[in-house]
Amino acid sequence: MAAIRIVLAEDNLLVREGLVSLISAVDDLEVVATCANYEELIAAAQTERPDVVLTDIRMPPDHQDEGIRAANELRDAQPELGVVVLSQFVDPAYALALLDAGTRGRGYVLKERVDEVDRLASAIRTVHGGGSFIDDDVVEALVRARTRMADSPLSTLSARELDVLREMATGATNSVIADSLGVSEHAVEKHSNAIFAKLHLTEDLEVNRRVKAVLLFLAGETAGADVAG
Amino acid sequence: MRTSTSSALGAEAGARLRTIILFDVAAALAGSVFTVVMAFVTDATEWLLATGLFIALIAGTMAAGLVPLRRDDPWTALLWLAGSNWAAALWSAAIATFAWPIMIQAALLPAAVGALTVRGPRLTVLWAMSFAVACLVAFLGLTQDVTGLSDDVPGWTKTSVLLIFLPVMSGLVVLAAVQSSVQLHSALDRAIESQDELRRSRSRVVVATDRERRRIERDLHDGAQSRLVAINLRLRHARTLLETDPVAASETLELLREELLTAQTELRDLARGVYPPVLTQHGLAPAIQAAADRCPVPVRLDIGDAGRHSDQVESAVYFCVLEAMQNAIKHARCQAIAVGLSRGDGTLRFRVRDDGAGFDADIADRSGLDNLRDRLGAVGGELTIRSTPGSGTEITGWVPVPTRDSAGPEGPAERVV
Repeated sequence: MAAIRIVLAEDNLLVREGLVSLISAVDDLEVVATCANYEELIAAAQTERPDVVLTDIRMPPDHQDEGIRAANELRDAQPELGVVVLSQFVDPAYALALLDAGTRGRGYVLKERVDEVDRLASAIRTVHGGGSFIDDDVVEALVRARTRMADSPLSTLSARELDVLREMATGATNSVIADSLGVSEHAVEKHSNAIFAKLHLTEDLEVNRRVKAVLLFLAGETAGADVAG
Repeated sequence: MRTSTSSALGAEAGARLRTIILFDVAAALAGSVFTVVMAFVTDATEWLLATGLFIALIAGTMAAGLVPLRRDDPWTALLWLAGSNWAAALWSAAIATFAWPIMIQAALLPAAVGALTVRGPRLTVLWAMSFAVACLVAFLGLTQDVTGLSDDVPGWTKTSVLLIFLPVMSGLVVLAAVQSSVQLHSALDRAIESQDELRRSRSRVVVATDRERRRIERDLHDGAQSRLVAINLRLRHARTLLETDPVAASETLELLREELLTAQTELRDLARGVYPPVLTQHGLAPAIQAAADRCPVPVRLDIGDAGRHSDQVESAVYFCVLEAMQNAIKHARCQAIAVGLSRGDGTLRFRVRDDGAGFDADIADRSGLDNLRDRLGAVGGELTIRSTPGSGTEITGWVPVPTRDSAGPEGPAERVV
């Protein structure tokens, strides 16, 4: 199997070098170009035609959310390209902004956990395969915030259903959820039905759309109605 | 200059009162001369002469009010003016009754002038007295004069007295009213202007605070936070190396230690930039000394016994001095900076002067300077900037502080929080 070709964008030299050596140690991953700002990233994505872009969220020129802007721009130019955004922001607003133009092939990973190479590698593989990957710390922060709210619909979920919901929000497929929770895929489907019924969400079996619906729900917005695929 | 009496309207009110006194004196002198001349032209010599001389005396007592006015005592000046007018009004109404329409104006003048100068019980006294004297003048006018002078004076004389002096006295009363109105409106304009300025400076403070927070967040994100991410990555690398190449692993660990020290320094510098602990613990002089020590450009310090002050005062002065120094380094490309700090009677003054490029104070970007002004303004101080292209910049400022006598011995006990 050919290695996944990656373009890496990160403005901090030390972090960039650290990431290159980390990723290069993984057999099926290969860094084909590194960039230090938004323009270089867009240019490299065109010339290198990588499978996945791994980008810092905040870079020159404006130090705002260049990573997310690049992800959105590249969706139009190269729909098959996967993008993983590295971020120091646990605020769900950034993750939701990344998924705004569509969830397919998009991942959001927190920098503080970036040394866990298996996690990073699995995020890269997931977006390469067209899936979504949301850092479970972001999901956890959302779930905590949502649970604290008075009359939270989350309080109607059983502990196991809450586990399944968390996994769904990270972008996991039913089989991955089944593996991770040690139950059958059929059981996951049953839990999933119950969750969607209790939360009054339109059930959507398509994983990418489901991620966004669940995240939007957790972020307290009206979910389900206008979820783009 | 503020008056020490009940006038709260300052030097302008004093100048206006002076104008009115001078006009009143001039009118009295003119009246006196006119009366004396009439005394010789007509046959009614004795009483007209006496009246003319009396009014000349009155002109003198009015003018006497100018002395206390120069000593910043408008209330005494006003008493001289009022007493003179009332005395003249009562005298003339009793002796030369034909002039009583003029004398009603003279009786009322102190009330109109008082509104310009004093307020509260003193103004009430003036109004009550003016009212009483005006009523008395009218009453004396009804009973006619005791001297029979009005019958002796020819009709044309009475007519010309009224024709000449009634407009003069009415004009004075109107002048006093107009002056009051002008004064009130200019005070109102100033109040509105300072309120607008207060609102503007408040919103500038909010903007500056937000900008500062964004800068701190950026510094943290791009500095220490990124460095920690990199350290984390390298640490993982070192762990891998530990099994395969212990020597390389040891080198990596040493590098990591240096990275960690750098991150520590960055965090410490940032924390100090947010609020320098030396300022809280040891006050302005050591804090400015420390800032000068860190400054890449030679700084000549002239710091007297600054003492300790409230947190607001110390931080306002410190950040103004610091920002002025940073501006000098950043924009002026200067060779040397001189910083002075001294404590005078009730004020704390500072000065930051550089020998750099200077700037045109009229076209410079004001936001940084406004920020300094607002900081000082918030503690009642003022900032002055003198700069011309090519000849350096001097930023001076002062803030009011308690005087040494009222503040007690140096040290924490003096701090007013």
